[in-house]
Amino acid sequence: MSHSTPSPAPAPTSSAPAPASVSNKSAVLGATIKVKGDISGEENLLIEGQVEGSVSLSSHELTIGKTGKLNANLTAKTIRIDGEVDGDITGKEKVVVTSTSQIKGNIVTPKMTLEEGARFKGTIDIDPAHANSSASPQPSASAATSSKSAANSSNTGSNSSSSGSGSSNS
Amino acid sequence: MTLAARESLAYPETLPTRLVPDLLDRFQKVDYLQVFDTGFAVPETIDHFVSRKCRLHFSAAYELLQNPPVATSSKRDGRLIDKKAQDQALYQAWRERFDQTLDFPQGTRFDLCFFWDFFNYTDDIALKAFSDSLSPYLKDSAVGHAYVLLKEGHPVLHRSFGVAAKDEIVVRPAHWQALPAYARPQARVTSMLQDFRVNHSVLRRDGLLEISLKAQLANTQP
Repeated sequence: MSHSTPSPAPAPTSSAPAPASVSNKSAVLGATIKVKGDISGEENLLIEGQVEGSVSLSSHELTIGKTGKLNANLTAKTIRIDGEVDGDITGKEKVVVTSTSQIKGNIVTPKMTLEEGARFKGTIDIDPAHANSSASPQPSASAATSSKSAANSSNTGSNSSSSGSGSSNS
Repeated sequence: MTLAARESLAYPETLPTRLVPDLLDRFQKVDYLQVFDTGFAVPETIDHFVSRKCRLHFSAAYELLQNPPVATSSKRDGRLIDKKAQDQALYQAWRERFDQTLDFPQGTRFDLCFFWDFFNYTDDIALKAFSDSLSPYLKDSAVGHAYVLLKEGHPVLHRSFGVAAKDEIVVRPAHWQALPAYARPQARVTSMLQDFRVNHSVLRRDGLLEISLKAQLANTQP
């Protein structure tokens, strides 16, 4: 999948090796890291650690790695889930759920892929019309139109912006 | 990859269906389709609906049947158990269980329900409770699809289902624990479903009766 992303940061600051599931360079929240609060940023992010709060990357990719455990609502351009998520998931372009994932929550997205062997129970709101609109350079185009999930983000706590590498495209 | 995932990869099978095409055709012009599924999401069902605006709800209701509730009735006459009160208590226990899972946002009204073979793992009381819990979330025009086990002895149990194509159902071994099955005549099954009547039925070679259901709502919706 290709996408264009402005990448002001020149080099990754994290030394953690990127897993095979992430094709682009991403900031990495490592397996031993625990975050309580809201994460937002303007670059791709791989989470292998634990997050309680929310994650918002409105125009970038978010990957929840196999060791990732999130009790959080997630919003990103594309979201891939290999780990555990307890929360609502809004993928503005696409959500990919893999066979290793465990999800409790609702999914709102214009395009959804459930990989072979994946198990999901819950609600999926699909609106393909928003896939076309979000292909434009405007990152604010939202796919979340009809789910209660989008309004559920009520996390409190310290805010933290993700840091690390800028993103690049494959 | 888990063992269950590997098994499911090795055993995808498709069943032809003569009833699902008619159900899907009814909603070709519906702008926003709301679908209820008693199972887990499977890739084929997602792929089938992903090109249209819809809400898919996968309830995994099979999981609720793993540990049936034990009803304790306080109404006892000496050492004799009041069967009616016990049944009512059991109904209430099932109802509470289903209500917790079928707790949809206000305004949710399903157009299409895929019950698959869920009815075959519920006794009469559990089936009635399930039907009553789902009732507030059905549209007047709702339709459904199910496989009914008429006789015991057919190797057609413990499977998961999905929509592979308009006229094809994908089947895999279920990853949940095997459940006790209840073979019953169609009339007895539908007598527990207050909101549906059978529209069409097809007796399949494997012994299952495939039925399509049409709403006959008598309830007052919230």
